[in-house]
Amino acid sequence: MIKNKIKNKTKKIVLSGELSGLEKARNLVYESALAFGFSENESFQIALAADEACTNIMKHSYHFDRSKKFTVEIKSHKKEFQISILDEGTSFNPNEVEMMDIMRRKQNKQKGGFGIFLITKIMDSIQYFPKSEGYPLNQLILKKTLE
Amino acid sequence: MDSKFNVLQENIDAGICLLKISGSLDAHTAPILEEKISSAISQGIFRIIVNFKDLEYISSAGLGVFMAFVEEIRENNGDIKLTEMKSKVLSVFELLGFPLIFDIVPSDASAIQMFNDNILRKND
Repeated sequence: MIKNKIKNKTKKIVLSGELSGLEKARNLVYESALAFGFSENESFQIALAADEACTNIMKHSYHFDRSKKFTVEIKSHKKEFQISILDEGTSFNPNEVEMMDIMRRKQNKQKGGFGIFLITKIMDSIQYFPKSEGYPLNQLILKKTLE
Repeated sequence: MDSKFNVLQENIDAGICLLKISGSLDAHTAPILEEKISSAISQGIFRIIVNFKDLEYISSAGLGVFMAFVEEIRENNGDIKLTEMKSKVLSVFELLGFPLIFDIVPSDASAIQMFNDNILRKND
């Protein structure tokens, strides 16, 4: 009973466009994933997925602006572990990001653009809801089920 | 899980340098490694060993540093060899298919031997 209460509790952290906030976010996700029951390696990778999503917002949406804030929320329900990231920056569709051709990226000396691909490899589901007139925040929802 | 990122450089031999990295390599800290590799290249060093023994975390921004330099390094008869990687860090390289591009070897000694034997990966 106590364990279920802990599992169902929502945890939250507010970050800005400042990259030094990444460490806090992934530590929170890592500890939460471990407490939920994922292995150390799975928790490491889930924290990595969260890091990649946050990095994308800081870099591409907020352009490292410290005055702009976004929220990372961690929830769980039954066997499902969920990370929601809510930001007010420019919307994008993660499903439209170009898939990986690693050899071509090497030839192009391309050092970025791997984040979304990693997230899709690690998480079971990625949903994206761009902001609208009715709701002013973009929502990226990453889910992984405990097997 | 995390600690501050640091790079220690040792010049092993003429033309070979060893970079020992520790802590967490992410978008925040990747420019530190980028500067170190860039500095080695500007000194004419194109054979680089990166020791991962004390690296606890890496994100795609960290992997991107190696991707940014490997073409230029190989164009100059050099290579980047990666050593002593923890399994959790290796798993990130594997998710992205990076072992297709980089030699990941057990020890610095193996990497030095490969350089001495002129075992270099080439650009396609």
